[in-house]
Amino acid sequence: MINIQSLTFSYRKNKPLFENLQLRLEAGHIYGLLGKNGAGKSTLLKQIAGLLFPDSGICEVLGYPSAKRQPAFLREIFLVPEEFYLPKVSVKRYVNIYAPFYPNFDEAAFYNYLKEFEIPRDQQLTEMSYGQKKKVLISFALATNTKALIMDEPTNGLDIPSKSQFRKVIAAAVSNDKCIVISTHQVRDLDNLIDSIVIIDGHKIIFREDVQTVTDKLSFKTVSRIEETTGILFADSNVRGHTIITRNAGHEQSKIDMELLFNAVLTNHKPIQEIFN
Amino acid sequence: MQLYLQKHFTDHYRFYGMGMLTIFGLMTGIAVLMITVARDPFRQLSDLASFYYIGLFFGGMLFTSRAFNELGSKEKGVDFLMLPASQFEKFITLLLISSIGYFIAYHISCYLSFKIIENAQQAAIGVKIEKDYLFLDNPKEKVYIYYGYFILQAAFLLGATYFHKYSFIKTVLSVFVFGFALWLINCVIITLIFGFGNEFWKRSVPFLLVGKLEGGPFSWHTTIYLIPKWLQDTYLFMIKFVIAPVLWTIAYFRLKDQEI
Repeated sequence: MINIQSLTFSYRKNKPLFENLQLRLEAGHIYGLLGKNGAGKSTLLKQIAGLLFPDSGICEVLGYPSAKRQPAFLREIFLVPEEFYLPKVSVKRYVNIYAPFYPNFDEAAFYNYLKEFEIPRDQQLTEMSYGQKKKVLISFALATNTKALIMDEPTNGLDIPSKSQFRKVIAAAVSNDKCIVISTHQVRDLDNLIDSIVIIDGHKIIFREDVQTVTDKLSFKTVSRIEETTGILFADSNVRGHTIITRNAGHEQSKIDMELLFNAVLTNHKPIQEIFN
Repeated sequence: MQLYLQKHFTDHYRFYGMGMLTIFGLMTGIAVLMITVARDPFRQLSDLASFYYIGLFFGGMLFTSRAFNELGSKEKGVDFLMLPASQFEKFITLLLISSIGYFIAYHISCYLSFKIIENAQQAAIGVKIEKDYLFLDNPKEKVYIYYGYFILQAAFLLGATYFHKYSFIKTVLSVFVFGFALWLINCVIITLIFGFGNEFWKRSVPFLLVGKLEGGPFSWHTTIYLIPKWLQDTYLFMIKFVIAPVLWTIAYFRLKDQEI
């Protein structure tokens, strides 16, 4: 679905943001693109969307080179940017103008998503808050039924109930022919939603595994005394004790702690990578 | 393309409507004020020609320089570039609106404005406006003004692909810099050909003619040396059919290369 090979890109000369980046994302998955501020998450999404062009290498979606921005490519990809534009019209008018550009647009589904997000369908977009507008855009993005859906920090600006509505809506929308990529630095927002994790740091993809593999190979626990536990790959202390990551030697199933994994991969990359190789 | 046109007008109808109303209002308002307050009538239509040309060029260029205004804002730029329409459709829509669209809307607005001015003048001071000037019907003289309009429009459209903010001012400056550079090159070429004597470079129209000051000490005259006929015809051909399309084509490729 999304094929990135040997991608090199820099905003300024001699300061590469990506060097020889390799990434393949397949349909039927929800990918969480994680990284620190300034790691290049938004830039990578822009490369995929064809809004930025690689200095060298390949960036394709469904076989279309992104940089060419062909209509057939644009009909199959939807980007929900962090900062977005909506015209000063009603929701209905917005649908009337934009939906005809997307051949698989499902109007009934759009209004269902709006209902799920508790957005009145007859409201003017100008009268909406930032969060409400974002929910309209997310609903529209899902209803377009594009094969690739990329979202840059979609939970920014959403209140707590909306974040769980967001997870519910996205989980319901995924299908075998869709590839959803969600970039965020608020990793907890993606708990129980994504099935694959991509972590970007230092110009490279440093971690790319599906959640099932992660929980097969790593164990996430909370312990009260850290000294009594051996083989700790990463630990983080909080008021309830210590959340730790260890090798899952006993093949027990634990719930993935996305934030802990993210911090572990960033600070203790090598031993974790060895487990997955 | 119809879909994109519809989308474009939904986003911009307020600006277009207000822009045309402003031009119409300014043209009519200033002229009517001159008639009613200063009691200074327009005796011939040619008295109004300056209003017409200022509106055509200034308004047209200002309007064209906003053609790719979306690209000046990240949010609007993403919306513009990600909309599933070909870059050619997007470009041709903006080209048609900013060139022919403005041209037609401006002439309708001008016609209405002149009618109001004429009626207001007759009602206020009883003076009719003599129709001594034909704006579009004199191909021998005035048609080149319209070629000039389309060349400038193309230059400003190209400018709009380079400068997304303050495009009008930056394009005006660029056109001046470009013109000055051409003049400098011409001076160098003229001096290389004719030498420093007689200051040929002072009496020349770049790449068109050179004047030689002759006679003296009390009677001077300038002999004009014009480029050959075939070169004049080539220039005319370029002005009529080449320059604007070339600038439009460059603008199209610039649009294709836009990144956000």
